[in-house]
Amino acid sequence: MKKFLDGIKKLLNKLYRIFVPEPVTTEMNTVVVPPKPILPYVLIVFVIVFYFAARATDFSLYTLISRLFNFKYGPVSYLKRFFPPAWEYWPRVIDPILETIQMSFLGSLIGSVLALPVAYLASQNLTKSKVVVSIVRVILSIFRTLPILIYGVFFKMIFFPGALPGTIAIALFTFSIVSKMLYERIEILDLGAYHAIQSTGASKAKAFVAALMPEIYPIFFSLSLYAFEINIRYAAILGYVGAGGIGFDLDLALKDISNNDRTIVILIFIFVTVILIESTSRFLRRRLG
Amino acid sequence: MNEKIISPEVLETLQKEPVTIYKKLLALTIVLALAIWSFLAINFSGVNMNGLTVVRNLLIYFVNPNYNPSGHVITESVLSKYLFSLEKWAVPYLMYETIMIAFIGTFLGALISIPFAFLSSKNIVGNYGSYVGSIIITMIRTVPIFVWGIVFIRVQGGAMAGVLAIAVSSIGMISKLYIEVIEDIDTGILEALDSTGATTLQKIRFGILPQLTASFLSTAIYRFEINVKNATILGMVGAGGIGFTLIDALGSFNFPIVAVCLWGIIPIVLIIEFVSTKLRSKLTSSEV
Repeated sequence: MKKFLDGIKKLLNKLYRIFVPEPVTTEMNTVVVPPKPILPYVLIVFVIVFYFAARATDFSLYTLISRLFNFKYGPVSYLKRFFPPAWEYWPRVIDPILETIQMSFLGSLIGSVLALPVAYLASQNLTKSKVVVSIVRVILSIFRTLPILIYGVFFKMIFFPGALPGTIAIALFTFSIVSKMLYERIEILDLGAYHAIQSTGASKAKAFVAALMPEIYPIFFSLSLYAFEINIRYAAILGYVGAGGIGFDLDLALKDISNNDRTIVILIFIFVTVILIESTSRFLRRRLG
Repeated sequence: MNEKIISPEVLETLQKEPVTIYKKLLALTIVLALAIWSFLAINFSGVNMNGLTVVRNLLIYFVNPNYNPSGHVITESVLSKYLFSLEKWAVPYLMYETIMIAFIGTFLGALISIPFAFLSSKNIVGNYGSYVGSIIITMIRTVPIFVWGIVFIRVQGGAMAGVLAIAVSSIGMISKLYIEVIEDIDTGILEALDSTGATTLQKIRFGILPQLTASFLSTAIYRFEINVKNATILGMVGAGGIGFTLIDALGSFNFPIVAVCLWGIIPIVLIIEFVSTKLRSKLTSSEV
């Protein structure tokens, strides 16, 4: 009986020591208390959140595993319909892919160009008025949080379905992310030359062009290329809502059972396009330093 | 007083400056040519006049979802029905569901990415293995997310499909970032631990894990932030969350509901972004 109580006491003590660490006496007879660990608390919160999340999403490991590997009705049976791929379909993928690239390029270009003046307004070191900076940043963050598909649907309603709404959606999205990245980088620039040129009597615009543009050019192009790299993947998705590009064909291929075998062909084209554009973009960005 | 006085050294440096004007012109021409070619893809079939009304209405309802131009007596205002109630079809619960879908999805994705990343890092499988791994990861990464959504609807419709779609689509980015961290492991620390006589388990716990956990967690939190936005879209394909309500209302021109959904999405995403940035800066600044 005593051993049992002792065992419980030791267990409770161990539990206590997880949260309140034991002081350690070093050889020099100084007593050091290790810092309070944060991990146990984080883990407890995590488990609680996970429990509620599992309830909200009907997460059940049993259902997950049993249905995932269900070869009759599960995802594997759906994936089997993709084979054998309809290779002869490939010429008809070219036009939509080209449209996707065009949409993404033009959208990235317009978005980046528009981002430059707005980033100027949103930089605390270039724009003196804090009000303007805050307002611009708030507007930018609102635009940044909306998923790009919502822009796609929105503009598809205004301009008829096609490549135009997709281009505008990409332009708006690019604008919101490039301007943020741009003003983050503008704020760490050294403005010595800028102020020096202004003190010789040049206007702000001239000082900007002479002192800051040479620094901003490579940053700007690098960010635009990065945006282009991201956008080519989004452009593929925009077609899903009718905003042009290959997403539309991909959606048809997925839904229509007679067309399922085209899916692999379309995905391969998307894959190749994304790899090409990403490699080109990374190569150019490295050259820009 | 308009003389230009330039010292000879400055003049010499100026004349030695490389002539890049031709390269710049070439780049500009290429960009312009691509832009013109891209422009040809867009056929401007005129503005949908109804579309402009759509925009006007959307903006009006965005500011005030309870706008009631017809003057009919409405029993329940849109705000109280969709925003201030905790029913399963109202915005707060849908946003909660969306965030939870993103949470479990990111967790599963990060969990699967860990072995994946270890098996694709140069210091573990060598150059060829890592090349194969990176090809697989890129293939997973370029598949649009709604494809995964449609595939996984078959497992269990609703929220679980969204969870799995987010998990699989996260593997791409998370693995890529994990591999970078794994390849940067400082083996000097492991050697030092070895020389103190540490067992393998101790070497992992005190040598490898501290180097990795901060970056792993930071990447997972970053991806969670992105996945919340993805989860709002994924609802479109039927994977649960607010996406379905939003796109359905948008398509049927039900602007009050669209406005209420946006009122739910925008603040929540902003808050999550803010919290995520703070957490990640705390994680990366308190290095072990």
